[in-house]
Amino acid sequence: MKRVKLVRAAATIYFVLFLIFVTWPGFVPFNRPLPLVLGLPFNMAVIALWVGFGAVVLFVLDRSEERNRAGGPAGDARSRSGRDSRNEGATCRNGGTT
Amino acid sequence: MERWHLIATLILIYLAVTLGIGLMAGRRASRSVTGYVAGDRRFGLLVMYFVTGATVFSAFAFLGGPGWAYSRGAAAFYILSYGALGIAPWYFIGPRAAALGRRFGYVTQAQLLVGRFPSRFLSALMAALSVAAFVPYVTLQMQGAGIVIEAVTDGHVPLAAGAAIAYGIVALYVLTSGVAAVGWTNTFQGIFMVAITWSLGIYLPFRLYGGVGEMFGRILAERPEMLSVPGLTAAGDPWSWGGYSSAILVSAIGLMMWPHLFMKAFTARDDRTLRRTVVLFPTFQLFLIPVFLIGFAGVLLPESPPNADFILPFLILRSELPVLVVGLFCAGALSASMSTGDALLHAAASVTVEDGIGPFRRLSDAAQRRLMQVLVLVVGVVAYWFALDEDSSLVVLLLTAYGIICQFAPPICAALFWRRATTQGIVAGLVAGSATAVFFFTTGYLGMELRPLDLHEGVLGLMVHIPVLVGVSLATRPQDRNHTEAFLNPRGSRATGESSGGTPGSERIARETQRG
Repeated sequence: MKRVKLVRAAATIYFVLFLIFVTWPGFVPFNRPLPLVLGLPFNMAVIALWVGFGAVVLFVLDRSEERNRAGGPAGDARSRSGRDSRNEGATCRNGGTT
Repeated sequence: MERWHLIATLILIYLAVTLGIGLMAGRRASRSVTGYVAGDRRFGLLVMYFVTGATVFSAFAFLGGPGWAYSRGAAAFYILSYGALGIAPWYFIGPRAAALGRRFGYVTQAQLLVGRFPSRFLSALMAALSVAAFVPYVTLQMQGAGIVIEAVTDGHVPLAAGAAIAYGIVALYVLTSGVAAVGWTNTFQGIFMVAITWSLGIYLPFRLYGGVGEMFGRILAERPEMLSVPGLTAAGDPWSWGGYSSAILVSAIGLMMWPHLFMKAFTARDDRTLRRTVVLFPTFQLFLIPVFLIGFAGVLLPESPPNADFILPFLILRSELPVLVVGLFCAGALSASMSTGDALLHAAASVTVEDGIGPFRRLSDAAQRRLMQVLVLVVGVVAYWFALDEDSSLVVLLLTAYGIICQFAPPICAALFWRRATTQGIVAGLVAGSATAVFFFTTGYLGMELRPLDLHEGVLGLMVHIPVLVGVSLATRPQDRNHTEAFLNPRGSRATGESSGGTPGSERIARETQRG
């Protein structure tokens, strides 16, 4: 439970930093064309890196949330709701094949 | 047989395949309104991923993206920045909206909002604002389709005819199949777009400059201002940091709030699918890199196209590529236009019926479906009428649309996360915020530049909107706790077996749920 909240906070902080460092004034120190990174201008590569790493952060967040839903204590409301939504998904799929 | 005949044939084949997929998909969906609007809530991961991606990447990304990189340089980087920022909060908002959608039968954003804040005025206001924002957006997509067809057929098929053909096909499959068609054709078109853009983005710099690094080296030597953020304005002057930064902010917030994207939360099969789509979304975003490379490839050419948005077809035709590649490119650009246009048409009609008319008049299921089909045509014809006027300042209109759409963010967040928000606060905030955005847009349009720091009018609207929402909410009577609990904790309250029977929104909700 504690770990899932930690990951959640870290992901939030990452995206807040993302916003700060791609807009004024956070982006100013990175705003130069050289050196070229894989042929791309440095400033464009920095933004691409924020986006790419954002995907990694979301992936880690997703793994952590999944584990939390699957392995939470039996009496925990969140794990119950997780089971609920899985059941619903199964119902929908079954409904869809008919 | 002339070259453009071959290209036109390739495009026709592509359009036929799209139409075929669209019509076939419709046979799998049920005939209910939920089936038409929300696709029976059973989209899987692959379809969801490409639906979202293809819907976001419109003709603006495919033609406007290279156009911006070509004419405004680093200013285009804002487009790369905002997507991931806009989608990340969806990881938590999406499943919550979806849970409420399943529980109460919501199929539109305004229904969710009105469920928490019962007000028919609010519903009608949301519908009016959404449609006002949709029309210029559809017009832009139609012009995109027309531009591509006109350019690649050497003007033999003029813009008006090209747009009419492409959107005739879109209308046909949207009318017959609803969102199921939109889903399957977007999957097809999404895959197509990614493949064609990456190939061209790498090919053109190599062909014209001998490599990507070489290309940027030469741009740096000859036009260094192009590679420094915030880039240039449309007129070629340096752009302001205020304009650049607030464009990122408004687009990120607006991206989440576009009704046609928000409604995807209600089409997802389950939360798992929805969350995975969010996780995968930034990978779609990186596809803007080849888009920019295509635009930058044109910067140092001595000749220039009539309009910056033509840069992509212009380069393609000048590079004397094989007919097959030109045909495929044209299809890729068309798919970018059509895959957004279809979702927009569909959403505009759904929103008008569900939110603009639904709360005021009871309609039978069949009548609702019929009315939506009529509205798809009406919105299409209105947008087409604007598309014929090539001088209409669409990008200006589109930016205003974003300014209005991002005003939906505070009410939605309040509905899902803030217990103390009241109906009066939400309505007052939305009216004040939209009025502010429209005021700064209108004065700017008339030549009076009143915006402080060159900030986007949408951001200025939010600066008025949020304090009004909070202030009026705190000054009015709080909502019933049982009522708010259902929205703030949608799954928790169900798990404890709490009844939702007493909530004011539940009456109309009962009408929406499970007809089939």
